Amino acid sequence: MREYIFYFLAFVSIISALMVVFSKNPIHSVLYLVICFFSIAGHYLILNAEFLAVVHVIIYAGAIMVLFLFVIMLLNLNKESEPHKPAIIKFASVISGSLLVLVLVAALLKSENLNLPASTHPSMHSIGMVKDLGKSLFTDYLLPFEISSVLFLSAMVGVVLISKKEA
Amino acid sequence: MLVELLGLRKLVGPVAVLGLLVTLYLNFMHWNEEVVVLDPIYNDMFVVNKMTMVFNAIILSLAVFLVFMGANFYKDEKKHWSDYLSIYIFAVCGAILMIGSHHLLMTFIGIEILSVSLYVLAGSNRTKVESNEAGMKYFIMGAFASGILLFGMALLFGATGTLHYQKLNTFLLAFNNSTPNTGFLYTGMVLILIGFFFKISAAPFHFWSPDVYQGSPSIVTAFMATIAKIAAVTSLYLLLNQVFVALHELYDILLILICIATICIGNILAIVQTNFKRMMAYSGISHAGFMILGILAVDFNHWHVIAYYTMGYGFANLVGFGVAIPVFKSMKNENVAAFNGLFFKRPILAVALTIALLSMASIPPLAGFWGKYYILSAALSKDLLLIVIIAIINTVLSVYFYFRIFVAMYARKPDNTPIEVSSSYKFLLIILTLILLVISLMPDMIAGCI
Repeated sequence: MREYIFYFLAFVSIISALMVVFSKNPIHSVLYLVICFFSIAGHYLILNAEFLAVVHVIIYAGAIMVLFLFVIMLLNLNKESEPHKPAIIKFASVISGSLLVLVLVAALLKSENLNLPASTHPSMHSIGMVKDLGKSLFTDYLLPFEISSVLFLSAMVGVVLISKKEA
Repeated sequence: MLVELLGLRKLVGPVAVLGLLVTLYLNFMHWNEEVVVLDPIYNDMFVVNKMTMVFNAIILSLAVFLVFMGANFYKDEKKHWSDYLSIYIFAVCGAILMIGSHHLLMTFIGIEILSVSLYVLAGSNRTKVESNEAGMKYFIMGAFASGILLFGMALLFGATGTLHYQKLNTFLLAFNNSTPNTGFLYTGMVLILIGFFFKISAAPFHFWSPDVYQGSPSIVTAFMATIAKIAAVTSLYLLLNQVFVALHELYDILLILICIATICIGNILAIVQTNFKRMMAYSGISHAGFMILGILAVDFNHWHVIAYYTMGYGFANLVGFGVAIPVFKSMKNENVAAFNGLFFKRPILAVALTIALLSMASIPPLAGFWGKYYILSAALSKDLLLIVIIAIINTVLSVYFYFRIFVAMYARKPDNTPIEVSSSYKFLLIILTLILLVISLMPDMIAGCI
């Protein structure tokens, strides 16, 4: 049962991700991206990471997508205003992109007998639940958790600095 | 130590300097205790030992001088100085976290704090198109590099089940070819290395650096060239030596190729640059190549070689930019020609710049020479003869583009634009130059101390 759900979700996410790239209308792209995010949240649920799934839906499908839609509507993107890259650049980027995919896939395929230590761990079945996540965030990972506030503070000060009106 | 840094951070320059100095002092509090007395703290997330103390001290002392320089640089926009300053301090905090980190997660957060601050600073001059371009370019490229780094860490975690330096090292020492998931492990390691190579602007991943260095405000360029680069190199050195050392046969060839490419590309392309900041970017790339050579050749017991090299590099760069900033400000352009006749206009500035550039060109009695000497002799003892030859040829090449600035300063006719420098700023430059000279003249003593 789990396996079928996985294949279904994987199919949906890959197709919608492709549609994000290939659809001409930017609004359609964004909507496909929403579908993609939801199916990825489904993957997280299969992997027992319920907290991650909820956060993913709230932040990506909620906040970020609304921002995307706003920006696209405000920008009023037309096809004419989009500069076309010369064919040679397109060609080069396709080749280098495919090479990267080829190398990564080939390297990962080499480890066929996936015997991940993380998945055989006894406490694995509850590792993504909110309770365990909170516990490890505030014990083992306390310092990174606190320090990431500095990261966000610096990002916020930066946003204020860049977007403040010149008085 | 870190808490003090954050607690004392107030939005005024003197307090920031004071905070940095207090941090510097607290940094050395445990200096006289035995080296490994201090275990990793905060659940093994953060480590304090003699090595991290020395590297932190380098970063912090550079930061103190950068704050002084920044106070001068932002004289005309006092209102924003506090904003800039806070971001500088955040970036320094990120650099310290990178150095002291004992867990890949911490390393990543440190890198991100440093990078996010620098993205903002690179684009902080909103009225200039170049600065916007620099900020945007740095942000997009840096975001991809961070993504690659994180992907590598995820694969590594998948293969080993931990991101803790010590545990990873134990896992890899017990590692052999029959261990499962080698594909995950190798790919993860290479992706992590790629992320780091981007951050220190090593050769195939260096394309952002000249544009970003050129576009950013000069003081930010000085920050990137010194603190950001030193922190990234140190972090990579610690990572390779504490974690991946068991796999060194695998990554050595990678490092060798990248080292050769970085040194050659940095020096050869620096020759054709007319913009001073662009030239310094390429010079920084070639120095990154030497630091990679150091990472490759210097083993963990001789870390003071890397510390000495970064110290000399950092202070020489700081003096260079310290002279360049007022010159650019008065001349309103950033080309090598802006230095024309500097010696006749401002002899002190010219002499300081001469000492800094001579050090970077590694002319014998100066710090750059001793740093390279130590690294090259370490490389020789590891049978890396080919790289040593290439590195020496490139050092000779590099003398050419540093000397172009000397020609401009001493041999060209000065024009009538006066260079405005306050006497306190001159005093600052003199102190910086003296520090560089002290580092240069007592290499053995400093290397013996640390």
